[in-house]
Amino acid sequence: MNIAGDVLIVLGLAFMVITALGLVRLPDFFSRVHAVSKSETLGIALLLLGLILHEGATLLSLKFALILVFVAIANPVGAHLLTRAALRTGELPWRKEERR
Amino acid sequence: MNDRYDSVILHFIARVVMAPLIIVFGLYVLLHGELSPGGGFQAGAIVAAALLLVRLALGNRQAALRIPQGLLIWLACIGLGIYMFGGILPLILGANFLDYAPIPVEWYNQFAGEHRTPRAMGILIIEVGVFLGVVAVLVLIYDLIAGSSRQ
Repeated sequence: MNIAGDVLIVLGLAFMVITALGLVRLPDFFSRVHAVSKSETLGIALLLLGLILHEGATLLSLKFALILVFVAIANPVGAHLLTRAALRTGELPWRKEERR
Repeated sequence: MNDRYDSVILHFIARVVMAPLIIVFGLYVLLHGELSPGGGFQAGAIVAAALLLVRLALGNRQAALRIPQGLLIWLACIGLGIYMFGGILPLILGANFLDYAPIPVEWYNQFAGEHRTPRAMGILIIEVGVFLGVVAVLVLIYDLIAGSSRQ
């Protein structure tokens, strides 16, 4: 159980590293939000699942599960609102011809 | 929020999913105040955050949970009154101000089937007062600032 938790935590950290890489490397706003919203939610989910496996069935792991639910609700909605507002205020998506 | 940035997803999440969950969590923080990190001020800030989330997401005019300002002022005063009650009750029962030891709790323990000590009971009374005051004043501050910028 401990080893499974460790594996999940390392996987979650890897997803977070990929998120940070995407935030720095991707060319425009929309693809950056895309990277952050998807892989960071998955990263936090895996991290908290690993912590739950470490902890076992206690009150603390119930709180971890609650954090997981809140993040899984709030993160995609925030990304949705950011992209919607950017699109409606005239931010254009990146095209392949323009180099950045 | 004006119509240009309106979103059904935001409305549903803020009003139906998030605000009730946040309010329930705030009440949990309030009722566990003497046992775990938390208390009246923190719980009040959390519940006020839920009310402000609905106001920010739906706009002040459409907010379903809109409370008139007179009621908010009354709530803050009632919270202060509960705090004073929790402070003066031990004074009447023959102890110092805010010294909870002589508060009678046997009737409550028989009624609710718990084993709450007088001090825990006194702290709970105080924290409910602080909670009401903080919720009312935080929402009132937001309403006054947002209301003045709208005109």
